[in-house]
Formats: sequence, structure tokens, C-alpha cells
Amino acid sequence: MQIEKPPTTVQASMTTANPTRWVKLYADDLFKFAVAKVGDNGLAQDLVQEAFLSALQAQEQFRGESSEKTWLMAILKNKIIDHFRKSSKVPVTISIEEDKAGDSDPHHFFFNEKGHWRRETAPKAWVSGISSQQDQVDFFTILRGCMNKLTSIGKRVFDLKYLEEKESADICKDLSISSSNYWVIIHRAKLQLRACLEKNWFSN
Amino acid sequence: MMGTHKHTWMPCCKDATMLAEKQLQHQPLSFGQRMGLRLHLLFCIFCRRYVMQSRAIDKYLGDRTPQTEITPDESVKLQWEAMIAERIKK
Repeated sequence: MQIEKPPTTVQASMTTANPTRWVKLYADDLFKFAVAKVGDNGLAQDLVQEAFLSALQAQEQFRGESSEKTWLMAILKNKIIDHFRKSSKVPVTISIEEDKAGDSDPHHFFFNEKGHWRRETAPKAWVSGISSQQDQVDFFTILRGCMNKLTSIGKRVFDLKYLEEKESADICKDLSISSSNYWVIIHRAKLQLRACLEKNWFSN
Repeated sequence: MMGTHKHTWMPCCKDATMLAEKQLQHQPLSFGQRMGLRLHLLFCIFCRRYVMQSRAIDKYLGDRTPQTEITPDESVKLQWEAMIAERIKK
């Protein structure tokens, strides 16, 4: 996202990108990052390749304001986010009441007026795990599906936190939210994500 | 924190899970908060489960790298290099 903005200042001494050494210098790190985020080697390869292609097209936009590696990494992160957005049609179910609650306070859905877990929504022991390679792929599909059921602000915060690996303080600044608001968003999103995973994966 | 219920010396599940969430993300808690959370977890199986599962979710979200060091195949890298070289020529 950053890279698509036109630069506000043009530096006097422009540093240019040097694509011929990209693979040699950065391929391993880019690939490792992609695998860590998508959990699948083949998919990670495709995403790194797409990132290289986009970077080639956007070469002139590289101004040496960040290191070449940081710049490539930012492009890769966008590719990963795009991929997750596109694959959002995963059939996960959340309860009707929770769905109806929508953007309203889901705390009421999980906790009673005394702040205790409601019997129906309290965490259950998780029975199924993630053992095989296929399980791993299936699980991450469900995980993405559940992520996409979060409120838009919850999703945004989680993407910044877990994908872009930003610090809490920077996320607050980026989204202009207070620190206490940030924790409420994280807490709610985690409650919802946990419940969704329990319903769609860990209980059968 | 928030909510309409009365607070005692021990946080309710809603507050305890919030505190646990902060702790998971390395946000420092006050001494009182730490003690309250610890006591609550001692008595509450649901919040103990929540903490365990939330930690697991963090792991799934943040890092899915297998234990072994992983690099792309040399053949794939060669392919990428060829692809880049070709595009530069154009």
C-alpha cells in the first residue's frame, strides 16, 4: 500500500533498484516469510514470484527511502493480504445470534451482566488437533475464513499485528485509535476468532 | 475497566480474559492486575482454557514456519532469476 502512493519528496540522490541481485540476496527471506504466513510452500512460491513481478513494474518508484529488502517485503505483504482477501469465500459458520450482533458489542454475547462466561459460549476443551500436512492446509483455510468474519476494524488490526508485524503503538497511530480502544478491539476479535475456530475446527 | 457489574478484588471473566490478552501481547500489568488474574485463573476453568487457546491462536496467526529451516528450491530460484532477466531486457 505504501508503495503505491506517489512520493512526496524526491530525493536529490536517487538510489535505484537492482533486480539482477534480488533472487540471490532476498529470495530466501521473502520465501521464509511467505511460508510462515500462508503455511503452504507452493502458494508461498507463487506469492514471492508475484511480488518480484510487481516490484519489476514498480522499479522507478523505488527511491531508496527504505532498504531494497524492506521495499520488496512490503510488496510481498501486500500480495499476501490480497491473497487472503480473495480467498475469503471459505464456508465457515458462526452462530446466528453472533452474526446478528454484527458490529455491536459482542461482549454481551460471550459474557453475562456479571461479566462471567455464558454457559453456551464459554470455551470448551478442544478435541481435534492439527496433525497431518493436509490438516495444516485445511486448518489455515478455516482460520482465514474466521478472520474474514471479524469486524472490519478487528481484521485491520489483526492484519497489521500478525502479518505486517507492527508494534501496538504504531498500529494505534496508523489507525488513530487510543491504546485502550486498541485492547478492546484485540480482545473482541480474539473472542470471536476463538469461538469461530472452536465451532468450525476444534469441536469435530 | 468497563462493564456495569460491580468489581470485587477478583476480576470477572470478561476482565480476566482482557488482562490475559494484554499479558500475551507483552503489555505490562500492574501488580494488582497480575495477582487478580492469577487468582481468577486458579478458580476458573473457562478462562484457563481461553488463555491456552488464545496463545495457540497467536502462534497460528504469527508464525507457521515448520521447525526445519526452509528455503525455495534452487530450480525455483533459477526460474525467478531467468524471469527477472527476461523482463529487464524488454
